[in-house]
Amino acid sequence: MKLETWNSPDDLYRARDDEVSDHRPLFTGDIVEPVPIGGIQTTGAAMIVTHPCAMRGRNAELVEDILVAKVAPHNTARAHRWADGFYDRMPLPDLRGTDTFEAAFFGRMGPAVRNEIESATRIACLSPLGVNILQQRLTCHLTRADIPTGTFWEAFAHTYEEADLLEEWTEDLAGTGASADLASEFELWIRADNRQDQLRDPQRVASVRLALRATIRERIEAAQNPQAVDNGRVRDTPTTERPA
Amino acid sequence: MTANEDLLTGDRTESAAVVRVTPPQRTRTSQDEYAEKFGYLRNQVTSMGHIVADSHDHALEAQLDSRTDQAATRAVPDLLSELADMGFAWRTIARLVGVTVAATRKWRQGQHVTGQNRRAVARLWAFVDVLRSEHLIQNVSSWMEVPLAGSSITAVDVYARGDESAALLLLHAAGHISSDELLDRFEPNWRSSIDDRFEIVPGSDGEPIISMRAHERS
Repeated sequence: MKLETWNSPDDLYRARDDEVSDHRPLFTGDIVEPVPIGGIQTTGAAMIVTHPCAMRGRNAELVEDILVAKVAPHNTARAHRWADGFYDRMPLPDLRGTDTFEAAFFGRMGPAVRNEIESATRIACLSPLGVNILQQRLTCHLTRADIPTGTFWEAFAHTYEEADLLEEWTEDLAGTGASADLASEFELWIRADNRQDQLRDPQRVASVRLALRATIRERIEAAQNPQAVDNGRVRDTPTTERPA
Repeated sequence: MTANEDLLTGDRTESAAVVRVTPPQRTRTSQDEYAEKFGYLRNQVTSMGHIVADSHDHALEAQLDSRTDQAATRAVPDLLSELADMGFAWRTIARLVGVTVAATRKWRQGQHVTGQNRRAVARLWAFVDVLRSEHLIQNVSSWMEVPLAGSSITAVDVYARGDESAALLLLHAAGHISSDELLDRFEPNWRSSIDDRFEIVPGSDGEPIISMRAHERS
């Protein structure tokens, strides 16, 4: 059994420290601190290990209890050693800068309360490769199944894609006056016209991105020029109300 | 020669009855000449093929460099916006340029870009421009995100490895090499890394489920 590793620590992360966008929705692999974990720690860093599909309920609201794993310093171990060892943890090289090494420990998982996570500081988000490696290692630890990372990506790329789109939507529209409740409006938008299903097809994802960007442009334009909206030029989701 | 000398130096295995025969010169037929001529031509064509292939590789590189030079004169936020308008995800643009998503976000907002990064953005833009204008690939972002030859490797993975990989992709886009040949050059062990034990099936809740293929269960 050989698990996938990384060429450069940078491969594992989407963002660290001040690179993390406040507009990005919480996602599997995010590392937050300080977060109490039931029965494990009263404070300290933790990694979200709940699957994206299980993290949110109706209307994309976060569930009350979210499964996390304790993150703690770890002896430096080169990438190749993680291919056939340390199955009970997720490596986090260079998490807090060059020459730091931490790990998320699957033997120390427990529930964290949604409010605690939302009020904590997010110190890193994983890249697609990082999330896939996390899922591969977690599955291996819990079941001894060695599922290729590419299979995880094939099954769940659409969840990462949707998080990307929500981040872009929120980031580009925040502060423009184009929307009162960005997350809910995105939810309505992505569920309309079969867009959420299209995210599952690699050949159609780009068209959803393009549609999102066009909608963002229209909404910003509408916010800057309310007359255009009144004339019915701009409207995608029926519940969207332009601020007065 | 004395009897003793003959005994020591003579060929004791040769029979006096053996008559030495010189093989006759084979007459060359027209078929022999054809085989020789076409063999020669084949060598010439193979050799020329290598020369043409090398020259073509250089020409593709020169084409990409030239368009990169032109693109590098433009504003980075404009190049990034145009790439986004082609459907690329920001994380993909960041990966292809070799930076973080946060860096591309800062550049879009007009923050300083180093010369090296400016060139990397220009090169990506030029690469996409060549694919669209010379190889008629209209939806480049989708083309680059679709897995190649039944593997999990995409053109994004290939490009992200470095400049020479861009030339491989151009050859593939032009139809000079198949996706199998592309992967052979990119990752010689790619076939052994294909793992098709699992398949993705829809779950009863509408979300995908990873399931073992039927033939793996039997």
